[in-house]
Amino acid sequence: MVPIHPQPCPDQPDRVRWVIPAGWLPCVGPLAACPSPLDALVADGTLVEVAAEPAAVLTRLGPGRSWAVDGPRVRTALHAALDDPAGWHPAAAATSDAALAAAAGALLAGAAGRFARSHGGVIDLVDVRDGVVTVRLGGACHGCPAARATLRERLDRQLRRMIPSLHEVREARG
Amino acid sequence: MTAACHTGGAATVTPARAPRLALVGSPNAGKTSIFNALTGLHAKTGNYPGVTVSRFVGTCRVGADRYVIEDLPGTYSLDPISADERILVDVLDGRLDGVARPDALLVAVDATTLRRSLGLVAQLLARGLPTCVVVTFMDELSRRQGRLDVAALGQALGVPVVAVIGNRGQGIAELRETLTGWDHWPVPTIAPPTEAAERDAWAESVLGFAGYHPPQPHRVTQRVDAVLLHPLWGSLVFLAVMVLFFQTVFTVAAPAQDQIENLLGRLSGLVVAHVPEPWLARLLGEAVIGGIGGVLVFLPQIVLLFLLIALLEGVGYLARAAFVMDRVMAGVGLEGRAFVALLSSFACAVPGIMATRTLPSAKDRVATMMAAPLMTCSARLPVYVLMIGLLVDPSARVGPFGAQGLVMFGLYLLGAVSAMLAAWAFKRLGDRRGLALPFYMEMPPYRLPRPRSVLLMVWDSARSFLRKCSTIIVATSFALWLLLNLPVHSAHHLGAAGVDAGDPAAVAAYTVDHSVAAGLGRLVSPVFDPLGFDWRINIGVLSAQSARETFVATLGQVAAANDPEHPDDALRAMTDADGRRLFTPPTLAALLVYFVYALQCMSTVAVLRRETGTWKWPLIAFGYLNGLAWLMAYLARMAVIALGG
Repeated sequence: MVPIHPQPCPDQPDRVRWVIPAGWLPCVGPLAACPSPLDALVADGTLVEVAAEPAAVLTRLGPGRSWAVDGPRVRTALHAALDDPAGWHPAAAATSDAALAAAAGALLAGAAGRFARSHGGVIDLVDVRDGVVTVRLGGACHGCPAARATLRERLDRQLRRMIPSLHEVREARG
Repeated sequence: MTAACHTGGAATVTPARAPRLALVGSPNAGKTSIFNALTGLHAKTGNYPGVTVSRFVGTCRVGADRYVIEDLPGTYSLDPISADERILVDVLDGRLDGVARPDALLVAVDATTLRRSLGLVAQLLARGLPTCVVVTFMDELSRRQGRLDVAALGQALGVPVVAVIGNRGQGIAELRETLTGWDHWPVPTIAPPTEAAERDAWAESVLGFAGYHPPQPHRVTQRVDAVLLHPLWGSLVFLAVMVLFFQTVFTVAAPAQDQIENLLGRLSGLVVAHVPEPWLARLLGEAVIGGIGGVLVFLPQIVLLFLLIALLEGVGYLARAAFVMDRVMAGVGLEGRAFVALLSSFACAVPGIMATRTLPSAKDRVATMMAAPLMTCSARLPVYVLMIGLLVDPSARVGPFGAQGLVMFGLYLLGAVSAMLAAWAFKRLGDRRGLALPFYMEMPPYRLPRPRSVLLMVWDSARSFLRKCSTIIVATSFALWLLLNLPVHSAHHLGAAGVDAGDPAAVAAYTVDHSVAAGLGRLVSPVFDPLGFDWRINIGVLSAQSARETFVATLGQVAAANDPEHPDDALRAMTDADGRRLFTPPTLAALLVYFVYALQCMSTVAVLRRETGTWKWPLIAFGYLNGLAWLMAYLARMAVIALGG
């Protein structure tokens, strides 16, 4: 069973963000179709929106419903749907660079960024173009001989797992 | 407790009563440290109504506010399989009479075993009460190369999370601060799942989000456990520890016990010398001071025993000892920890029964308590010594061993084997459903015991022992003294009976002979006649009913021997109404076996009442042990007669 847990969205009580393993879903953004039985909850109005994020699924509850009552049903349906990653289709054919940018941003805000910060470093996203992600290493990373290995080991590998079309991760010069 | 007493600007509504916060957590999660740090010494201990589960309630003050903290029994889950967990669930649901439902929960989780603890956290969060998670042993986690982002854990759980290091008081100030906002604590938008697979997935995800890395195995613990949990070496070490334990309780306590006895003896002498009225002097000296003394002499043993248990538990050895003994105890249906309690009962059943508090299952606790009085306690020793002296010739030998010593060893063995069988029987009766309790025992890493926790445990046991048992002991010895010394005979009456009123020994002999107790001794003779007891032994047996040692002193008094503590010679010469010797081998054998089985100690009855919270179990113990005592004594007498005694 895919590890998931819900987290509230600040000031948006009708939304819950289900944290999932980074890169589990092949797409990001609003969905055209999600696998059953999650689609049944969209069809019956329990959910009005399901969107994939690089390391989460955002669900928005239909009007007049409450998470306390419907949350467990949504969770069970989500578990089943997540067992079928191929059944998740994005609403618009989002450009692969946009998906890459979203995934890289999520990683830098999450585990990879946290790792850099724990060593006194900073990684900023500079640009994403044609499958190439450019980042700037700052703080303690700047000039650190291990920084490049860290970049490759952590960011590159995790990002490639999420977006297999990644070409490479580059360090910005200057 | 009203807002009126302090002039704070906004008119906040202060609840009429202090908020009740329940402290929940797995055993060894550092719950007690948190409880002590929050409440200091303002804790009250007792039992939950009608059950054998200890209850701890304390008060925590933050500024002008008061919070009632209730330390609930340690548990690994809320699925009520044992009575203790049943209590926990009942308290959380507000279903227990006389115990209000808590307003909020403090959940203690050990950072080094966080993965397992999240199962309990999930179940508690599902109950919808405001909850704060208190993470303990963060220092140990980082020392063993583990990692945890406490803020991220709070984000993932959706409730406040505070990290404390109990033994250094770190984080306690923050926890106190957090308490004040208990009614505004965030609750999870969606409660954690109840279904097992979904719950595992939830815990996995929460751990991942909180960047949790479990700690490396504790290297010292691993190496030491390789020896201590080894089937052979572990058993040998266990035996050595137990011999030391036994020796310490017996020998170290003895001088302190002598001191107390001396002190009380002198006090009693002072009373006799300075109180002019003889009957009042004897009442004060024998009944009141003697009664309190009967309790006080147990105190060094109690303090020492609980000190040793607290130290062994604090270090983490008790869990290993229980593990090693578990296989043996499983034979009688109990778990390893019951062994420690039974072993303590060799010194005295009172601390032994109190030591059953370490047993998590209420059924095991009851079975162990019912068996504990059968272990040969130190109070039986004077009786055995006296009776064996009358029964066996001191020069008789069996091989290289003295026959007296062998009989003594046989009596100890008989007691221990009977205790095991009794535990087995009560466990079978108590578990009529035949449901085997899953037994989950955790080997905590070896830690230095916290002096404060150790001292609190010792202090708590000593204080409650003194306060509650002394009332019963004093009352029984008072009553016994009255029974032995009433009615008071006038000098005229004594003269008419041919007793020299100027000879205190003769007066005492006459008074005892015609006392209410003597009447009672004759009254119960139909019961004890088949055992060969006459009314004088009956008085001894009846007086031993308050505490076994009194048998020796009472028989001495009855026999009017000059030295009441060594009445052997007078007893040996004692004859019954027909001039036959009273203490024949069949009678002595019956007496000895009677003392092996009979529950004759009012302290034990009192402590059974206190620890079980009802009169049911002390009455059952009293009935079955004394019934069994009579039956076994009768069989012993018949056996000795058949062997030509």
